[in-house]
Amino acid sequence: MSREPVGAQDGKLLASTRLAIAPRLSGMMQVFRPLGASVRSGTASTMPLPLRQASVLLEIARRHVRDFADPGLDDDMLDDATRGGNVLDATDLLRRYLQLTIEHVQVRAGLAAAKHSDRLAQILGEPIKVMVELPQLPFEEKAVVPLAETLAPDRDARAFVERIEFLLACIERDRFPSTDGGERPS
Amino acid sequence: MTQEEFSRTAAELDNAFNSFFGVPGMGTRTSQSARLTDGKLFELRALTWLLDNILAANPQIAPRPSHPGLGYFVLRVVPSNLDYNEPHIILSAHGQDIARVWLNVQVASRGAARRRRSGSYVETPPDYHELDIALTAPNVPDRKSIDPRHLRVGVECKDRRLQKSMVREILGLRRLVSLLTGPEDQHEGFPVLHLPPALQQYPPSHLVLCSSRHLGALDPLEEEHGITLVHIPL
Repeated sequence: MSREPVGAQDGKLLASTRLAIAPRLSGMMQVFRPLGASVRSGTASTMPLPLRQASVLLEIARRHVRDFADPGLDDDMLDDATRGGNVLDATDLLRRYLQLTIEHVQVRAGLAAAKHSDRLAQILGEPIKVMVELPQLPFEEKAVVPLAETLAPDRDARAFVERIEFLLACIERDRFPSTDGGERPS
Repeated sequence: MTQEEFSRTAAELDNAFNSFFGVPGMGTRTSQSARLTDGKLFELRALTWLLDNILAANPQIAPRPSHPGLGYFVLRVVPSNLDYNEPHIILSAHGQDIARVWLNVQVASRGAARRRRSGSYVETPPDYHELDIALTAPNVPDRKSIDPRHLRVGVECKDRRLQKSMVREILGLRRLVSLLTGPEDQHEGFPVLHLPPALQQYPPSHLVLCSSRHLGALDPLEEEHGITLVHIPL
């Protein structure tokens, strides 16, 4: 059973969805957070360790990635992946979440600016360049630069994408074997 | 993966998200300019969303730039008074201008607007609210913050998780325009402009809080206070 994906349509009023509360990692590693029906029914402690680990990582990713609209992912999929008890399902879903994040960052970094500038130009019937005012030092001065240029993939975005890709590679390579060793993300 | 390695991976994963996107109390994205331009990108997105909705409900309306041929708009960091020299958008129908769309402007508080009407005074920061997008009457006074009587639709854009302070801010502005009930406060200079269902007009201006993030269960804001909450993905 799958619900209608949240945010699937532009401008959709989300009157019935839950308030997303900013999560805290604090305490999460000490107390396993309920995740999915199988966990809610009290079987968390019987989960194999790799699946429990995958579930925690999924929960972390979901908390952040759920803010991005994507018709292909919803909470039911997360529950199903965990309930099924298949660690491969869980890590595959994790990859989807993280891949979505990377795409989101890259889109924000440039494509969206061009897309919405083009739409505005279309509405107004003439070419329009959208500029943004940026504060400069000293603070009284401001520079006006094209928005698209400021959104070119910056150092933050590149570093973030590289970090997530690295963590993903580490997670996927291990597939959570419960053995010592293996490369540890540094 | 051992438990120790796993714990480290999980913490790094969470930190990577938090340091890039910014979560209250968990660190923020390090580049201020990056956060700023993300927000401005969302304002641009909200502007096209607003225009698309108005045009869909009012096919007779023709939008045009205030300065044809100039070829640019500027998204300001600090909202300012209206300035007719600043590029903005004019909505017209059947050859008549019916509204103007402004970016990053100030709306005078009701008290300030009353004092301004009664005589000269110096406007100070607490005397106005800020709006990312404002749809006003076509004949609003130049070089001043928008009088609430001239505001038709106000849009506040938030490209981050919804916080209590944002709700408080939009409620404050909503209360301001809801107080416009006296004969002297009737809307001025507005021909009929049909707003789409997402922008029902009651009373006398409408406020829209746009967020690029999920807004959650905030139904009372819409039902009791007439504020539309819209989630607009980038």
